[in-house]
Amino acid sequence: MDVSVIRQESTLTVVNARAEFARAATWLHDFSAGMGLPNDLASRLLVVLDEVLSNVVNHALAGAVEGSREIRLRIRLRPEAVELEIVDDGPVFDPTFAPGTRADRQLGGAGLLFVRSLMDEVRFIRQGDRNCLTLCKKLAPMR
Amino acid sequence: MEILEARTGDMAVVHVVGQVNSGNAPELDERLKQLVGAGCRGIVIDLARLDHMTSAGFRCLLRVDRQVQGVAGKLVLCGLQGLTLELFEVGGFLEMLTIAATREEAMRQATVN
Repeated sequence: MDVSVIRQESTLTVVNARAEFARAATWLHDFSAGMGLPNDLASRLLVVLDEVLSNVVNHALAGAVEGSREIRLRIRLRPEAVELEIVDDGPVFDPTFAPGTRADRQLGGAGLLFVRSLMDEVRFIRQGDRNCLTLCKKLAPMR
Repeated sequence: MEILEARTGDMAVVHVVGQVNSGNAPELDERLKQLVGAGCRGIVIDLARLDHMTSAGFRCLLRVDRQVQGVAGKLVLCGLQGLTLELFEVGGFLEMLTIAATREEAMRQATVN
């Protein structure tokens, strides 16, 4: 990976507990504010972070003792895009493959619909024993 | 999230301000259920000052909508804008919930005769 094109990045590790969501949101909000990201983009990132963390806790780490597992978050600002990475060590759970159509929105699929629609790119890879999800949103051209 | 409510008879107008997410959606759920429990049959939710709502908030709205319908009441939303409106569109919630263009129209629609 060419790290020279990364303008700024920040990482945070949280555990699989709902109380951690607010801490993660504050971290992301602070990064967005610090980098001067547009409010609309900052809000989109907050929506997808909440959806993905909910998915990880409710699906990938379903059944795990609360607070016993780590979820690693990383946000990167590149010249052309912002990237949010979420890594957990649960069993394979690929949200890009999970149902997310309008038909199953009442069953919890709306969150995945939001993630796919609000981001320009959603990539999943299984790295060893970890789920690694990367969400990418292109930045509007500078005027 | 800030929840501001005004009640007149069996009508309640609720302003939801800021962000609704999986952390605070249960609080919104609870407040709305309390209104129904307290006898409100017409509930207007004004989202004009909402920044965004995640799927946890939408699940809450769907639950309360069912609850209100169960007591022959009506839940009407108004003030959809920006990212909030986009999320309603993406999730297909415009067709699942009753939406009005203005608060006045929402109050008219939520009036149960």
